[in-house]
Amino acid sequence: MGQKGFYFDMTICIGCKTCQVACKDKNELPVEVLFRKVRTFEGGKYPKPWVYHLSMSCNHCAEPKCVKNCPTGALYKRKDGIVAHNRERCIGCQYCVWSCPYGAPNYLEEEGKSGKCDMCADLIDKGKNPACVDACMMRALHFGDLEELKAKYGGTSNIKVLPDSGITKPSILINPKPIAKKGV
Amino acid sequence: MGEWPLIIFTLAMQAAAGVCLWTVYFETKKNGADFRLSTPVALGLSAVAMIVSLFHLGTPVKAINSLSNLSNSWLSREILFSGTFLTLLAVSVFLQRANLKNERLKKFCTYLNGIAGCLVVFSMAMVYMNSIKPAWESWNTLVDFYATALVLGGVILVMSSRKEMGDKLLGMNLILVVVVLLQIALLPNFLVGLGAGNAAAQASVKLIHDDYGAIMFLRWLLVLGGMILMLLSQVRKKQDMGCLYMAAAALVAGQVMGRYLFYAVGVATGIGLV
Repeated sequence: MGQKGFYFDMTICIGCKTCQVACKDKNELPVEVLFRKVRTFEGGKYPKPWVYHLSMSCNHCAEPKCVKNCPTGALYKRKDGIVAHNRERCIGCQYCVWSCPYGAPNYLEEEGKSGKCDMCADLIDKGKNPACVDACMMRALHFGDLEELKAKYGGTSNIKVLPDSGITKPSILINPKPIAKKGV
Repeated sequence: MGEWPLIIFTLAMQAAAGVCLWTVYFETKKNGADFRLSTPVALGLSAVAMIVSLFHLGTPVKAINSLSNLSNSWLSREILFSGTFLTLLAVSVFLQRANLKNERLKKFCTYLNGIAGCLVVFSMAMVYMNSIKPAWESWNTLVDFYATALVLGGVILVMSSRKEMGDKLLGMNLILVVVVLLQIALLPNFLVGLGAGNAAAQASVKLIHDDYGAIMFLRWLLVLGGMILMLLSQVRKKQDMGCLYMAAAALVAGQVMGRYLFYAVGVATGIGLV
C-alpha cells in the first residue's frame, strides 16, 4: 500500500477557509484549535502586490519526527502512511508539538492530550474522502496515493514559507504560485 | 510561560546528578571524603523532580505510557534513566542506613549513581536537541545542562557536606570556575550561530535582545559573582560562611534564571518561520 498524501493547488485557492471549517466541524475542535489551517501571505507594493493562501494540515510525513519522538507510541504510522494518533495512550507531554516543523499537532487543554489531523482515516476506511477535500469548493485540495498524485498533478513540497522537506519528508504536493516558489 | 514544572524538573534532576558526579570526583581523590548526606540529598532532589514533572503532563495518571518508545524516543529514555537513577539512589540510601561496612559495595554504588546521573543529563539534553527549536537543537544545550549539573551539584554538596570536605573544596571550586568560564566563552559562538540560522533561530536572538537581555546579563553576573564569592570564602584562613551562603544563593539564582531563559527563548521552526 502506497503512502497517502495531499495535493494542494495554490493557484486556484481563494482562501475561503471552508476546508478549515469542515475539518474543525468534523473533529469537533474547541476554540483556537485547528487541525487544518489556511494561512495568507501577502507583500509587494503597487504596481506589483502579491498574495497567496496556503491550506495545511498534518503532512503525514514519510519520516515523521512526532512519531519518532512520541514517548508513548500514541502517534504511529498506519500501513497506508497516515500518521494516526491513539488518544487513549497519549499523556499530554506535548513533545509532538515541539517536534513538528509544520505545527500539525495541537495541545487540547481541556482533554489534557494532543490531537492532530488523521486524514479523516475513519472516512477513508469507508472509501470516502477527507472532510476538507470534499468541502473545497475550488477543488484545490485532493488526496490519494502520493505517487499517483505526483504523476497526475506534479507539484512540490518545498515552497518559500515551508521548512525544508528534508527534515521529515512530508507527503504533500503543492502547485505554487510563482511568488511562492523557493528561490524567487 | 507555563514551563515551571519542566524548569524545576530539569534543575532538580541535574542538581541530583551533579551531586553524584562530584561524589565520584571526591571518591577518586586520595583519602576520599565520606559524605553521609550527599546520597539522601540527591535522592530527595530526584524524587521532587519526578513528582513535579507530572505537573507538566496533561494526563499524569497515564505517565507510565511514557516508557513505550525506548527504541526511538529520547523522552522515553529520559524517563527510564531518571527512574533508574531514583531507584539506585533509594537503594544506596537504604544500604547507607543499614550501616553496611562493605567499602567495595559503597564505592560501587557511588560510581553507579555517577554513571546513571551522567546518562540522565545526557538524555535530558537529547530530548531538547531533537526538537525543532534551533535554540534548543544546538550543542549549547548539552554544555548548559552538564554545566548546570556541576554548578548546582557542587553548591548542594558544599552546603550539605562542607565539614567532610575540609580542604578539598578549593579543587572543586577551581573546576567549577573552568566550567563556568568555558560556558561563557562558548556563548558568543552560540548566539552568532543562531543569528546566522533560519528565521526561528533569528527570532530567538531577537527575543534575547529585545525582551530578555537584562535577565541574561543578570544571570551571568550572578553566576560569575557567585563563583568569585565562593573562591573568596576559601582564600581566608577560616571558611567564611556568610560569603559561602551568598555564593550559593547567587549561583542557584543564576542557574534558575538561565533555565527560565532556555524555555523562554525557544522558538519553533514552522510555516513562515524558515
